[in-house]
Amino acid sequence: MCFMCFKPSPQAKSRFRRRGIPVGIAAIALLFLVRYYFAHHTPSRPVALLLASLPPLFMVLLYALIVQFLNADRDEVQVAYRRHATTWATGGTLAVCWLWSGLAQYKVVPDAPLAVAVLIFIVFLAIALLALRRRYQ
Amino acid sequence: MKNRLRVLRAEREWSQADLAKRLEVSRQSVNAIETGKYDPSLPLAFRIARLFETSIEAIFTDEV
Repeated sequence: MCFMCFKPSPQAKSRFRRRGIPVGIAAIALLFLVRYYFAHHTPSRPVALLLASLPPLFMVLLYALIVQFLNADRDEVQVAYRRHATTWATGGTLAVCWLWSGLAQYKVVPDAPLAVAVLIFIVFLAIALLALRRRYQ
Repeated sequence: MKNRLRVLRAEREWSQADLAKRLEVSRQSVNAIETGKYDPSLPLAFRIARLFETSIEAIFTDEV
C-alpha cells in the first residue's frame, strides 16, 4: 500500500493548513516555554496545573488533527490501512508509556520528557505502516 | 467475501489501473478488493456495481 497515494480532499488540505500547522507550532513552542517557566519560576498550584497541562493538551489536539487529516482520503482502502496502523501505533505508544511510567514510579528508570511519547508514536506508526502493508496490498 | 471483480475487469480488458481510475481509488486498493484482502464499504460496492452495470450480489458473494 503506498503512502504516497494519499489523496485528501482540497477542503481537508486547507483545514489542516489552517488548524494543524499552528497547533503543531504551538505544541512545540509550549513544550519549551513551559519547561523554561518552571525552571525559572515557582507558580501557584492552579497556575502550575494549567501550565503543565497545556503542552500535552496541544499534543493531543495535534494528534487528533493529524488522524483527521489522514482519514480524509477519498480512497477508503487507504483510510482503512492508515486507521489500522494508527490503532497499532496508539496501542504501542500507550503500552510503552504505561510501562515506563510504572517503572519511573519506583525510580527504576528516570522520568522521560513528554516529547518522547511523540517520538515513540512516530516509530510505532512507521513500523505498523510497514507491517500492515502486505495485508492491504 | 469472494468477488468476481477480476473476471469482470478481464472481460472489459481493463487493467487494475484502469479500474482504479474509474473508481477514483488507488491501484493498490483495487488489488486489495480483488484478492479479498479488503471488503469494500456499501457505497464503494454500489459504485463498482454501477460501473459494471450489474447488481452487488452478482459481484460479491458471502462465501469464505
